[in-house]
Amino acid sequence: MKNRLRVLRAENGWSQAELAEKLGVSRQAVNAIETGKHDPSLNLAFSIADIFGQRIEELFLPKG
Amino acid sequence: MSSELKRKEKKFQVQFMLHIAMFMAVLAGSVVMNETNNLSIISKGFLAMSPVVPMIFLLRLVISHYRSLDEYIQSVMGESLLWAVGVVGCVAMAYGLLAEMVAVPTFSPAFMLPAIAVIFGIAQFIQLRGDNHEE
Repeated sequence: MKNRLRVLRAENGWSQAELAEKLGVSRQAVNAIETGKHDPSLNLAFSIADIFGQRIEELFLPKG
Repeated sequence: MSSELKRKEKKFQVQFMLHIAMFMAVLAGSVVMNETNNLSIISKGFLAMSPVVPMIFLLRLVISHYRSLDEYIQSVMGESLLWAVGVVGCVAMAYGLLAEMVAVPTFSPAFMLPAIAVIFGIAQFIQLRGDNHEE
């Protein structure tokens, strides 16, 4: 699954650590989601979308 | 890592060290008691196995810590555990099969848990290595 997390985080001027703090996850988790190494659970995806004020489908896109 | 996770991690590390200290104390106590007293075979048996008790408490602590981690770290830990159990299991099986055919030195099964712990740590380090730098 592709995502726009890195772009949105940069637009907000947040570091991975700051986003991780807001989400209550580790910085490694944010890094793994940004690089596509880890697909977040629906629960975490909703939290991410909520923080950026976007809908899940605007943030996460299917591969291909 | 969020400050909440950092706090939990620090608490876990302290508790982990306390459990290891408890294990070492029980292990030392069981060795000393076994060597200084003339115990029955049943007492010796219980005494020999007594260090497993703090290890059970340690296992409970690790499981409780695992449940408090985020989903990504949980998946990394799960995969690392599979690697550790798989590698130690395969090596033990290979050695066991070898021992059926050739005379080889015997190893105590007591070393299996420490071996799993070491390989688990290495596997976790390798998996998280790429995530430790911010891009």
